[in-house]
Amino acid sequence: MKSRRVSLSRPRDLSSAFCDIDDELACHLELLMDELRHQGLPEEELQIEVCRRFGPVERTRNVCRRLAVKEMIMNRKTAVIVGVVFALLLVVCLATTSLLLSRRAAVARERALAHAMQAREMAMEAETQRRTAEATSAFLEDLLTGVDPVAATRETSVREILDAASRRLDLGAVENREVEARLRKVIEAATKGLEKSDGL
Amino acid sequence: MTNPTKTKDLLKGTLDAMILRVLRDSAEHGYGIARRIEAASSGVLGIEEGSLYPALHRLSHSGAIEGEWRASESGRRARYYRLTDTGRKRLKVELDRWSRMAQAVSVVLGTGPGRAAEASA
Repeated sequence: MKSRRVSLSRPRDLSSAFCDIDDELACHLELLMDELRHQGLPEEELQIEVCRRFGPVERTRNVCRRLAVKEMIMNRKTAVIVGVVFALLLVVCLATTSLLLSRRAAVARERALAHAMQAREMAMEAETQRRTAEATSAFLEDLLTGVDPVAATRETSVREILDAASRRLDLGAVENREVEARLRKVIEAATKGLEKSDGL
Repeated sequence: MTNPTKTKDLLKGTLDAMILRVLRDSAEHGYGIARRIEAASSGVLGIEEGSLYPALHRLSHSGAIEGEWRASESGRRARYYRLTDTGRKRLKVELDRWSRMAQAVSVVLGTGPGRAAEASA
């Protein structure tokens, strides 16, 4: 037996809901008339008895139709409310996600900036170190190659070299204060070492 | 003073309860429901059969019953209604309410067990 499940709370559309109401009432009236005929009621009294037992058909039809319209309006209102709520939720979710992502991006940007600054500082530090080393090396090279050629016949002592280096520094041979400080430290340490070994 | 809305609700609730009670046993179309109510009350409750349909619509909309189109015993296409789980719960509530109300009315009218004994004495 073929059957069709119908949900009255969600009619497909209003006209089909009205058709269902008409079919349902017609079915009831036909079954009632069959019963009355079966009981032997004459045809001329059939309508009167049907009206007595069923009540005003048109009124019932109108009441059912009004209910169907009301239900459809309520279903549509519900659908609209659900849609609006869903849309609002979607907007809130999107806004929250966007805010979180922008915050994350800002944090990442700040970190990257800090790393870049750190790297620049390290590069600058390395450059300073390189220049200091170069200047120190140039000074020492200049000092060792610049030994007095007249006195070249005799051996030059370490002390003489250290004294010459100290004099040069006093004369301002090195412009860079850092290089000068480093050289003076080296000369001082070497002189102290020499004095110690002389003392022995 | 009587409250017309309350009385109307009570009558509506009673018709709903009777429909739910009939559908508890088996699925039925509107005409069948009317016949079974009539038979169960031994013809005392001659409800206007047309009033069943708005009630069926309300019950269906509230989810207490479900409609299904199929051929009746006579071969006619009819909408059969059956009780849902929501409807079973609703029936229980309606039966409890009716029972309380019937008991209260019975006491007021003096047809309750206590009063009946008193009247016979």
